[in-house]
Amino acid sequence: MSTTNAPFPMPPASADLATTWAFLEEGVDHIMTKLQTGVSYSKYMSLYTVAYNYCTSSKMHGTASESIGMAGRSGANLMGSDLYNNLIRYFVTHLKGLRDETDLLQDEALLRYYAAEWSRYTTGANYINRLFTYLNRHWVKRERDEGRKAVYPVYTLALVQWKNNLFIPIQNKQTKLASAILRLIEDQRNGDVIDQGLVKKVVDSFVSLGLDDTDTNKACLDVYKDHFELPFIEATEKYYKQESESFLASNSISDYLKKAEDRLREEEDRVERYLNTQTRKPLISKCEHVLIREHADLMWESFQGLLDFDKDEDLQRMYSLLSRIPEGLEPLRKKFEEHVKKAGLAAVSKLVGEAGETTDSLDPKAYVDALLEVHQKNSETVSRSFRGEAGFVASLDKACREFVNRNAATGNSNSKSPELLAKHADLLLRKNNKLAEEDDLEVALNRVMILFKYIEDKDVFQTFYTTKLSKRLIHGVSASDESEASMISKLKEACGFEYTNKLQRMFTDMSLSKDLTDSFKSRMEQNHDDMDISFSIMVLGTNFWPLNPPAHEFVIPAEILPTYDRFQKYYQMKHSGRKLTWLWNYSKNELRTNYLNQKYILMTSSFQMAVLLQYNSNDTLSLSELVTATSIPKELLSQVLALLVKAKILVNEEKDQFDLNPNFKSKKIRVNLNQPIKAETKAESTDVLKAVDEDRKYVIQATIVRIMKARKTMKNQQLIQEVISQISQRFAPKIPDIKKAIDTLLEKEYIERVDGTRDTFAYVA
Amino acid sequence: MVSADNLNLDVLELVFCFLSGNDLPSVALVSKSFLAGVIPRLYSTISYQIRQAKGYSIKETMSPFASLLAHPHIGVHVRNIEIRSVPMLKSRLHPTFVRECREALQLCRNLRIFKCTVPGVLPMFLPSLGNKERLESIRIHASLTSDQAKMLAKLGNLHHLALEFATWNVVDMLPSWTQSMSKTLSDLTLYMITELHEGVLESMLVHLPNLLGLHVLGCPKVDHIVMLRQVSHTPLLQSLSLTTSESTCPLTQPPPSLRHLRYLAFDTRYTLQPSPSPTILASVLSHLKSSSPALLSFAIKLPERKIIIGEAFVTQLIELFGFSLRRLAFLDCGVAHQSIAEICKSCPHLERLDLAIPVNQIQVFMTGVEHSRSLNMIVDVDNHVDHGIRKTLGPETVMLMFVRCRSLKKIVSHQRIWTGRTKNDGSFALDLERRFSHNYGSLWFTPRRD
Amino acid sequence: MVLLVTSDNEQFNADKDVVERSVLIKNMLEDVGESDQPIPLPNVSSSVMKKVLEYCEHHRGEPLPSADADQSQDETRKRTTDISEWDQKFITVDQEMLFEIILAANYLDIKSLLDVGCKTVANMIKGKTPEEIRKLFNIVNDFTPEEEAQIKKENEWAEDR
Repeated sequence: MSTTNAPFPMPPASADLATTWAFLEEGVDHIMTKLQTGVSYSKYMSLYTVAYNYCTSSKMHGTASESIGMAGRSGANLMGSDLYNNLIRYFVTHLKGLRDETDLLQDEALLRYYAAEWSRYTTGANYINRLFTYLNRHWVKRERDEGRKAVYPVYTLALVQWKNNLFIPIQNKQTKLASAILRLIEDQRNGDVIDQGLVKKVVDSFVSLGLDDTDTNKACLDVYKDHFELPFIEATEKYYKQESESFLASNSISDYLKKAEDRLREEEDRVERYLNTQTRKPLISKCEHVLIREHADLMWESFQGLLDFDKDEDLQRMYSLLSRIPEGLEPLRKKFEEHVKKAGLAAVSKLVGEAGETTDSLDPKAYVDALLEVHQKNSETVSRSFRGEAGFVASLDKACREFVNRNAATGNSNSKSPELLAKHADLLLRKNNKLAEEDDLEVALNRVMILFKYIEDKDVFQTFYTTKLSKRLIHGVSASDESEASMISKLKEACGFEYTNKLQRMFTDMSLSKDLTDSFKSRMEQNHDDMDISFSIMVLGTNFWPLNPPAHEFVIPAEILPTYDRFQKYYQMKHSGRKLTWLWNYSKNELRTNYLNQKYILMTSSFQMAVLLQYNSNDTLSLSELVTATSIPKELLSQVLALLVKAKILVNEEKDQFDLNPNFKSKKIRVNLNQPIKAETKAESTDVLKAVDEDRKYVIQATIVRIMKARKTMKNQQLIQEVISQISQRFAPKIPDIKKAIDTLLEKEYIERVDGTRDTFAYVA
Repeated sequence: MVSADNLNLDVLELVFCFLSGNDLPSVALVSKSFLAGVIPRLYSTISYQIRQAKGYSIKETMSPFASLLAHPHIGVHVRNIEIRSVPMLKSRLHPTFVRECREALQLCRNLRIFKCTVPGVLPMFLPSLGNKERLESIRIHASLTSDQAKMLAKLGNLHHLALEFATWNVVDMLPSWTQSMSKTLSDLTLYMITELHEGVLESMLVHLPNLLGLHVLGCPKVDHIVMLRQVSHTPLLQSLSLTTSESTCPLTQPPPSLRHLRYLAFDTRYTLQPSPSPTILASVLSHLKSSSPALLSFAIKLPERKIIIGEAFVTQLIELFGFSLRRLAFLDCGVAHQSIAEICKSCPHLERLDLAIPVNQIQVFMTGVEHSRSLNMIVDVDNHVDHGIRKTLGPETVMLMFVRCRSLKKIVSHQRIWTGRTKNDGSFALDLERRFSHNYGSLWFTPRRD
Repeated sequence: MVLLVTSDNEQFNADKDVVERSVLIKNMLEDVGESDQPIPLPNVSSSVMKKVLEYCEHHRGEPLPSADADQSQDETRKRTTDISEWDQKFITVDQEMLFEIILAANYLDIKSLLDVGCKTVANMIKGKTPEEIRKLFNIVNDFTPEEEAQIKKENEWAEDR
């Protein structure tokens, strides 16, 4: 390169086209073919200047041009087009040479040649574009402005020429370029190592060759799509169709799942490595179709087997594959639901079979544990293999709801499950249950709540629970206040404030009663010194406790009568106007013996107490004497006596004659005589259900009134739907019950039929 | 030696781009090279007005369309055609002109803007408007038959659309037409359209959430109440023009959010005595307050030229927008001197004021104006109320105005443009130019962004 | 520093960021790479080069217009013929120098300078009759009377607007 600053020899400003182009062509060719040898400033400037000079040498005064009047602009436009057309001619010739070279090339050799020429050509064209900036800035801009879309800035022109004179001709020979790329990609899919950089270069050139005619700066992928993407997607489909079919013919579904997963990942990588990102979508969706959709039936069929053998990893894989295609998971969800339901039913049947006898004697704990085990196992499957996907959670819930409420143990009864669950909860919350640790108890209660969620008749559970709770409280056998409170707050969270309102009131009553007992005691200590009896009282709100007073008269024994009167008076003084009903049937007493050598403490029910106290003044009494003395009905009294006889406190040697046993002996000082009477326990369940039925009637009626008040008028069908949807949180109402309630409300004139209609009701304000 | 004559065509074109109006035909007559250089600029905008139409009718002037037909290659340079008048022959549209125009239109394949506001002529040009790939803006007198309306609706991808006096056929197809252009349409003007009602407007606007300009004026069923309700669909609006009616119905709450609003124009109509308009205008302004837009321009037009714009209104306007306002226009009304003073004191960025300059009380007027440090242009708008008695602005008065308000650079009055400049020696000189009507024919409420 | 050589073989040293106001030079330095070779500018004389460098010096650091500036922006730019005070003083030169500067700005691709020059010429033309324009620029009327009449007739619609 010359370092002198001698001006570079160049044609004069007024040179004609032939001279000008001869000079420019030499420079253009140098840049296109020998750029590596460098370009000096002088060379660059002389080329720019010569192009500039020619463009600006408009021959406006030339005699040759038909520059008459308004038509006189064509002369100037000729200058630009002269250069432009010569550039085209140069590119065409240049590219023809390249094209000839490619005739003998195939596959990778062709790609290598093409890629190398492409990068040389585009680098050169960029340079040329800059040298002809002036042409771009004025003539090209003007031509495009005036609407000639086929005139391009020089760099774009070079690309257009490449496309028309090299790219298309090569492609026209059995799509030589694209096929070469596709063969390389197939090699790679078959496990060979290929030159990915080479593929990328060629593919990128396809992208660059796309042109938007209205805006040359805008990218347009038409060449890439037509010449590469379409055939590529086709080849992909063919490849994977063949591969997946032959693979499945000789391998297990588990292996196939792995294979498909790997292939999908590979294709994602492929896009990343050397394809245009826009190809991702069509490529992946094609692969999903061939690899998954086409074999979805097989996967669905194999699903049960994987579930049965707990093939977690395979399940996981199948889930993630099928989740990629529309509707792919739906059959799995259905199958899973059926699977869970079957497992639940089987577990209960097994339990019932083991118990062997009637379902009445079913152990609540065993029942609950069996249900929970099925739930837990499948719930783990959902979160582990199905990523906790909402659809599978719904299937699990649906299945659990089904087998929790209807199974071999429940038969046709909707109340069996809530009853067993409430009983189980009761056992957990009692003193002396086997779960010593508090944490364990909390865990156990949480497990109760899992099943509670599935219980349909939550009101049945509520009633059983209330009854059980009241027993725990009045008998003082609750494990701890904290655990009770914890359980209530769980129920409240699940069903709302109303559901646990009564339960909470029961606790309030308990603590108020404690205070009341204390204050009564201290008052008595001040006023009386004859308090030989220790006394404690529970005052319970009638509406909140599921307790009924004895259905018969009861003669309060003289020994406790003063205390009874004093408390009665004390309470009326504190709360005038409240009525106290004495629940003798729930009271208990402790009696000290002084007729024996050893002093015993007898723990009794009130009725037992009333009987035993008669023996303070008698040694023997007949049944009828006892009936008279206590007013306890004969039938019940016999049962009370039977227990006392069984405990050997009383002796029954002749019919209906009961003597005090002077030789009573016991290993324990405290003797518990207060055993439940069989008739009572039996009655309990049926009582509870009766109460539930009664409650439901009111709930349905109240709901109807509430709805009608809001809507004013409503059709029968609509009303029933609305009632069902509002109540189903608590229990599943039966349609005849709703109809009955509507009739009742019509009768009571809360609602009326709208005149002239059969099935429309109106609210009566 | 380099001279103007042998500057190359590229440069000549650049020079002529800076020329307009009368200078262009003058340049065309200088020499062949000048002619060649000026043609793209000369023919880029063809504005055909009453003067040309009159000249045509008495056979004096050739129409630009005839010239285009004589030199078809010039058609590519035409970007903007505006037909504001059509020559008549025996009280009918001149048939030769109509033919020339229709045929020439077909040559103009690069047409971008087409305006035709002469009643009854659009139908003849409609067929020539198809296939104009670059057409992006039209303003037309749209009284059409149903078939013609269908043809109109084939124009797609418009950016600006202004319809005047549209008939029901056109109103009917507006929602689907504008929806088809929802990607491009940025400016919509509906002017004097009796059939337009809120339902149609709403079904248009729900599909045009990106609209930047909305101007609905003189449409009796769409007043400020309707407009302020409907603009909730177009939260990006930068310019808004509306007509206020005398309806005192409460405005729909909550107010629309128009944070981007920059140009606002009110066309105030009233007939009642006393009129509720001051209250209504005040309520509209407070309604817009919640969006706190940085308004650049505000224009108001009153129906009765004798009326002086309320001082309370000006005060409210300035409290809300005074800081951002660049331009204020009071059309067909007077402005109290106190208001002028208040405006000039409280609008630190005010650049341009359009109003009727009170020539008789110029001293008092300037006492208000001289408070401004930013005002550089005053445009005198015609106020025919004192027609005949009114003095025109003479050079002495103009000089006085320039002297009293140092920031002033330009005063426009009665087709004259006075420009003040400080000469190299520090003295002050006045230049006078004839006013060219290149903004002539644009509607008073459309924002000028120059 | 960049070394420039004008058509009359005079050398100018200038900062790179000054000469790069010329998009031509900026592009070339990018393409060829920097070296200590002198840059020949065969179409610019030293007297014009002085003026051009003065302009570039004054405007150094200002943003260059992007290569494909938005067309609408282009239009608004063209509507105004206002020239800043410094530029106004700078361009107050004799006619020949004015045209030389315009040509140089066009050649060197300095858009803002080209605009200043073109605006100045436009301002000189404003308000003049064809004859006055010819006189101003010393242009020979190369139309025949018939041609002139024809052109006048064809463009008369554009007069007096």
